[in-house]
Amino acid sequence: MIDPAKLPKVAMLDTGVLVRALGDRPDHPDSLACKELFDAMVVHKREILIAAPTLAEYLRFGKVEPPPSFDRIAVVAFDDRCAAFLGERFPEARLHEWGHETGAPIAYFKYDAMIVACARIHRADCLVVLDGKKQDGSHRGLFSLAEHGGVVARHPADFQQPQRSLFEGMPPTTTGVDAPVDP
Amino acid sequence: MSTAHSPSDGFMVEITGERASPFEVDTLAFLQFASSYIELVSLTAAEALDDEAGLTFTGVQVLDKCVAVAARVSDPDVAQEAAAMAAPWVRGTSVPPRVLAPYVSRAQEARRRFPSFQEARVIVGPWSMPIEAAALQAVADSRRASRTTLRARLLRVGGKEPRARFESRTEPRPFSLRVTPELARMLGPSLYQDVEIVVSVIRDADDAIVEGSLLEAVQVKSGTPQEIIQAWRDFHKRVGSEWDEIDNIKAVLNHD
Repeated sequence: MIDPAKLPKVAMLDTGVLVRALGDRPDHPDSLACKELFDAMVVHKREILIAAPTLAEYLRFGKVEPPPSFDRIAVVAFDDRCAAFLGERFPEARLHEWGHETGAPIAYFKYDAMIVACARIHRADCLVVLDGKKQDGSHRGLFSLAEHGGVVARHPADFQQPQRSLFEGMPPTTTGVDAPVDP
Repeated sequence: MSTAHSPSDGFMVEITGERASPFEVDTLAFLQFASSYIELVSLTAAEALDDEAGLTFTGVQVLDKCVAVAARVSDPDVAQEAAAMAAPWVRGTSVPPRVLAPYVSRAQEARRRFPSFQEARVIVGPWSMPIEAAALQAVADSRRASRTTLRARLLRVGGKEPRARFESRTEPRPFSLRVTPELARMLGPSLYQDVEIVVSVIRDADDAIVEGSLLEAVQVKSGTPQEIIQAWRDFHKRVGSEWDEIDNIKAVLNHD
């Protein structure tokens, strides 16, 4: 469940988050958090931004129509300001380095770098992504790119209320699993 | 010695500092400075703030505490906003709209006739601000043309030569654009609402829109949260439902 106090004023959603927020995959581990975040942002009158490169990635099945044009959710352009930011923060050489480090194709990083540029120029408070952490604790993928671009990156789970134990507030039991069992 | 403030509808231009006294000041220089500056503020209000009513300055009072001239201004709030807007142009840190450039030059030239140890100020009611002029050197024209799409709130539309004024969260300041009469009529019902606009603009070194034209505009609909959420979910069903058959989204995108 979402903690409204944690909601940003303006959040940009990465492609994966958008897909799970709008889609119908209740079995997917991130679906619920993405849906709850999307709905809560609208209900609590926050603003959702979708970068035009994200829309380009999303509209890949040959069926294209303009997205709904309602307040609270805006598709933002990758324009000359974004291009200048991209060139300054993510020059080709740096993208190639990332590619070598991760083994991912450079085109993958280019799209993500464009999304980060949109988040920065269009003043999103954060970019919400599904990429996680590596075993050494460092971020991977779009998280890492966002950090390099000076954009705060968040996972949908970051906006949830903290998990509480079912046994919170209850006295410790004397007949727990370690207690001796009468033969 | 500076005057603390003018009356609430007062607009004052003053020179203070060493040898800035009514008996020593260059009369012509001071009158030219005051008139060029007041003219610049008035035109800034008309051109950059779309003040249709027009600022009027009434009466002249020459104050004897320092070198200052005061007048009553029709709209002190607009006068203050216009003076603040014109400040970086006169200072030379930002490039003015082309139509105002000659008036900025005149005000700069008039200000430069006073030595730098004498401070010039504009005072509107309780608010005041120094008037600094760029040194005599070419200010690089760092403007650049740009065409983009924005979501913006419509603040004003109309005028003899139709213009529309917007503010947008992603723009550093409100901005005015030329519009065709047809677009102006279309925009009318969208006053104080969000509009998706396609613009061709000139940006300054701070990335702020200095001038430009509105090319297209589409009203953004208001809806209840449920309507908005449902509209996007329905959109997904029409154009993106194939995503629901994909387990690993990143793997699909990585292969682009």
